[in-house]
Amino acid sequence: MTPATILVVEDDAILAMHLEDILTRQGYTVLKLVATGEAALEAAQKLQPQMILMDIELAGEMNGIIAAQRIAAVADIPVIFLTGFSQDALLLEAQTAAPYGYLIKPAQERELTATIEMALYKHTLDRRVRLSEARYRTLIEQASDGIFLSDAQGNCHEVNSTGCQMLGYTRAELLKLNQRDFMLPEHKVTSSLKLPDQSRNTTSEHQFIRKDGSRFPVEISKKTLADGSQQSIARDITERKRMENTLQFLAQHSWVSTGEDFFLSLARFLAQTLEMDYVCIDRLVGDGHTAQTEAVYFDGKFEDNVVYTLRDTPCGDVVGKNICCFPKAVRQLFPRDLVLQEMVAESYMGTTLWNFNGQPIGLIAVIGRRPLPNPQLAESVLKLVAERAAGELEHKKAEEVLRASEARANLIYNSTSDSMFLVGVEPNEIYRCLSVNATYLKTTGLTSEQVIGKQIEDLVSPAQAEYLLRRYREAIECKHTIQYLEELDLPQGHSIVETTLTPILDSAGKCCHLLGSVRDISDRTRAEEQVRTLNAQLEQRVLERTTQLEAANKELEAFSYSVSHDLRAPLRALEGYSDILLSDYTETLDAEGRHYLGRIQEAARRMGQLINDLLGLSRITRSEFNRREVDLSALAQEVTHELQALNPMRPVQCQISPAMVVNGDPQLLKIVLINLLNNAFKFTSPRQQAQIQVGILQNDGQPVYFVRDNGVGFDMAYAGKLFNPFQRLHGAQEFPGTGIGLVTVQRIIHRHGGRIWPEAELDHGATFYFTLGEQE
Amino acid sequence: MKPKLILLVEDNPDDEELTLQAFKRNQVLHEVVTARDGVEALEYLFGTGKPGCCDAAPLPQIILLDLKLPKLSGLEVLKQLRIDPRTRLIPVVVLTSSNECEDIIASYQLGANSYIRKPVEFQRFVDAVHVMIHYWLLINENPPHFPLPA
Repeated sequence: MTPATILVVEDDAILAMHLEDILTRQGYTVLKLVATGEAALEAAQKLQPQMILMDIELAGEMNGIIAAQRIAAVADIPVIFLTGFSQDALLLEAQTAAPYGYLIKPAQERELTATIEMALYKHTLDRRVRLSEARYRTLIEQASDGIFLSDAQGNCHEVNSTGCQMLGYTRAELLKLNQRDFMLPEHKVTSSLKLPDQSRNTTSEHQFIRKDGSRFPVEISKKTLADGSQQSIARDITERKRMENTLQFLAQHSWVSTGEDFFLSLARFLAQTLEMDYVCIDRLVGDGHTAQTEAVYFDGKFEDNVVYTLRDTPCGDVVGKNICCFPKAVRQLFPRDLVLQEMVAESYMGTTLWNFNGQPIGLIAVIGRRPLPNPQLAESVLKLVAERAAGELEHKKAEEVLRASEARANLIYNSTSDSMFLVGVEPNEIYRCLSVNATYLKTTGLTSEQVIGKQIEDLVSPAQAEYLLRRYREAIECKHTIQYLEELDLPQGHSIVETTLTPILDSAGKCCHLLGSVRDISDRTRAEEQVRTLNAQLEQRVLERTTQLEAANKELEAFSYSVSHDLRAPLRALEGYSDILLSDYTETLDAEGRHYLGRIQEAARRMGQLINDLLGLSRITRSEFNRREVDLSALAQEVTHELQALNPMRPVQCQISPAMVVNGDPQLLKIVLINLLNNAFKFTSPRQQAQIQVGILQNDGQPVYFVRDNGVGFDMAYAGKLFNPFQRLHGAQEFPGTGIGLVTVQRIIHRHGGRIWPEAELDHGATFYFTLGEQE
Repeated sequence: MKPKLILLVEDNPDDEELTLQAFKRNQVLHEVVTARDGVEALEYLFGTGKPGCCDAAPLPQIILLDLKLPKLSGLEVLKQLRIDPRTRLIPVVVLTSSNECEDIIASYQLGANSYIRKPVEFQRFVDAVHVMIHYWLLINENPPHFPLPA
């Protein structure tokens, strides 16, 4: 029993009280007893009862039926009509008020309760249905898809607002139309499902025609109900279609493409898909502010590629951003972009192309003369193609690099003077020639048809093949380059060749190819043979020469010995007898005779000195050579002291650099210093202030020693004669000497592997520089 | 002063004459015996010479020895002298043209007492002879002449 609140409308007071009595007894709450329709309307609004028991025949203007209708318009309260008897006409009229029940008066208590309970239950159900229906309608109205309900013939009898917007009609207009009026008959069924309730759900793609005549693709999901009516849900798939086309385009234009350049295809595709007038795809070059076009599609045709600067163009704004969009008025924003101005551009969209490292490498720009109708769609399409275009750009670049590298490799391969070949390594020890270079063909006199694809056994003799197979195996097993010699009978004749064989490994480390480089070393071998023969001959000759030289040396030594004794003896006689004549026979000789005897003596002494010096020179050549550390400073000091002692009356200022330590023969170096310093002493004799310097300087990291004086010097024009034996630049009267000293010095310096050179000026001193070949 | 004996071993007659002249200039009054080659020198010293050459020729106080000699060289003569006990201690002055290191070293190794290179200038030679004679025959105490045990 529901403890419902009830309003009783009854103009018969007795009956009303009787009803109240029964209802109260049954547990209901009677809110009020009213007698007229007007009072009932007021009480229903005010008290909001859960149920109204309404007498149909009421006193006053408003009978029960009218009152119930009025109440139903303002409140959702179930009404049960009470009637005295069954009047068919009245009951028919009462139905228009949609009552929840009828009771014949006087109502029995059980009948009353049952009717009330039934009405309350039914009312609850009704309310639920209404709520559900309202929710459902809201759902339909708010759906982003167009929803159309039509009868079996296709006449629309319901459509939601999305459906109206989609087609550009008002709801009222649409409800007068048949589906044929806004849908093209061609369609593509994409799925057809039989539902559990035996109805069928079909999904298909159609073209809708807007009120303005334009068309667009829709996907319609249609359900035919049991009564033949149709329920269609239509979705605008313009964007999806474009994306699908884009994907399809990208799928069809793969790396190994349809033949047409990817960028040209893409430019045309973008122009058509996005309905833009100008598309360019660029690669960034140089500093990144310059672009080189890969494809330009303008007003339905391709243009030549150009290089342009990105400054003052919207493309300049694109670089570094993902997407840059100017849906309208782009011309005004970039007044200096000539392309935009000339084509009277309105809209622009660009995207950067990034490489795998995230560096911008290019861009795609689309330009239109109309404002961009759907920027989101354009953006989606551009984003979709950008990644692929970037990949293609990198791929193209890599391919260009590869092609250049291949061309270079090919050039080297075919221009090298070595014969080269590539052998494919196949299972079961089959080696097949895959490629040979031009030199190979030239050298062997074969054509490429005779070589390419042939097995080694077909190309050489069995013995040679066995030898080669062994070599191939060796290279494959050791996995690095080997070299071997072959003797070949080539059209030009018998040749000795040296082959360098390099195994080429695949990614798994297995040898798949062998690269061979064959060098004809016949000439080299012959030359080597000749060199060997010549060397042997040379050695023999050197041996002979050495023997000869040794003999000559012995002779020379004997000669020197003889000279030192035998040549001096007559000189002594000349000098001695002249002396005796001069002292013992002085009175029998006149002055002239004495003068001549004096000249004989002088000549003899001079010759004695010459012989001495020559012997000294030859001794230097003959003496042993021992290199060791020599303190040149100390040696110079010693020699100058000796010379000073010999010339005690000469004030000579000697300056010797300290710590000149050299590597040389101490005996010979002393002779060098004696000669050079003696010269310095000699040629400074006319000077009041004689100055002599022994020093060192560096030339290209090599030490150069020098002996300098401020003596009479000499004219450099004669410097070349200084080192010739017996050559003198001064008369014997002026400065004594034999002209052997500097020759001796030079010989010693040369024995040290050094060199000596003078620097002098007449009357302004002389300097002798020398090195001692210490570098070696 | 008891005159002493000088043995001059010299093959070149000019050198012989000039040496004698140098002695003369220095007023050397000692007896000078000249041998004109190495063999002759040894014959004189050891009395092995041709008949007529006395067996007991007096031994010289000093021997002036040239190196370059016919038949037997000066160094060979020196070697023989130093082997024989009779002549082993006689002062030998090598008087030669050579100033080859090898000659100087060989001479001293074989027992020469002095080594003088004959200069070309006669006056210098005279001076050298003066010093040499003065030293070896006046200043220096020479060994006595008797056979030494071998």
